[in-house]
Amino acid sequence: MNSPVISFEEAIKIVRQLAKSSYWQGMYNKAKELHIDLFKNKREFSKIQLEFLNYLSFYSSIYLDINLGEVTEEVLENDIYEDAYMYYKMKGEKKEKEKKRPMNNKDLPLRMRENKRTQWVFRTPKKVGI
Amino acid sequence: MTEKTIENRKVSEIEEIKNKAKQMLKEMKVEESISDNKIEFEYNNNKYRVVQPSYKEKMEANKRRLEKQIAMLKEKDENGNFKYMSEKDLYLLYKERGIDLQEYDRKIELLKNRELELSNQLGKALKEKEQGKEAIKKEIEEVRDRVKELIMDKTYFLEVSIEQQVNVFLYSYFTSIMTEVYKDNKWVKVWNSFDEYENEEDEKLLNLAISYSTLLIINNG
Repeated sequence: MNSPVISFEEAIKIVRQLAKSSYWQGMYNKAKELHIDLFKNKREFSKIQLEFLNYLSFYSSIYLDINLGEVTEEVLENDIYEDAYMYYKMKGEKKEKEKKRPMNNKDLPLRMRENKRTQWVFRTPKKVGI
Repeated sequence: MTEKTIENRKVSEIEEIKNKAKQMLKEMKVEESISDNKIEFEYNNNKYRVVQPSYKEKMEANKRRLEKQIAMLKEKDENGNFKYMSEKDLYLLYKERGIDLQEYDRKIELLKNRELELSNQLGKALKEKEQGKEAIKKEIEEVRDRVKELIMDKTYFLEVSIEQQVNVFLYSYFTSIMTEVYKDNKWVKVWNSFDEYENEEDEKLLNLAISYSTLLIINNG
């Protein structure tokens, strides 16, 4: 039997299924714990390998949220639910981060801003009378 | 049940099994490409494989890409006009012919933003266990289909651009150097030169080699 032609779009769908599988999720967790290589090559990752790594982390995050009770297993029903949940989650995390971000010098009132100018370097030298 | 109905049922069952086998093969090939960075495939009882190009081969491919781009930029027809057009030129030309590609870009961006809005609503509904998830999902599917259609139309319009042609050339060049065949107990290149590849008459073999090498081409080309 001749091998089938695979389009990149089809390949990405398969990559998602594989990354979602308990086998690859288990391998991903072991690889993180024990520093095992997931691929035979250690560099020069192909497009498909990079996509796979992204989806391993994507599904690992969803499974963790299900275990923590943040969301129900319903999220795993289809790709659109999964993408939407992760988008909503990331947007929320971004907002949280922005709230927690230490105030920038420019956010402070003028009188409270830290003066970082080096007085000694740029100070006009005193005129010394001779 | 008539004989014809039984026959039809058998044919559709066989079709289903064939499709399942094909899908399983596809899954195996993708998994193989993920773990090994090499993909073996069979064609006409011969064993083939695509492998990552070496650093030297990649440098050569980049050199050829630049040469191709410069040649296409310079080439003129018998009237002294440039033979090939860049995407920017094509945007202007299509506008003269009543097709506004910038409008396509605007529509795509608007639809993508709409998809993000809907995704946010759906994500919230999933987290807060709210109702109406299926309706939002359906709308997202419609938006995605519309974006896909617009992108396909735009790709069709810009297919003749220098940028697209150079890309096609690069992928073809990579396929020509990445594909090997198992002969006399060793792996050898299928095509000894790019000319040989371009003159290959077996379209099925070309399609297979292109489809597998595309999965392996690294991000930075």
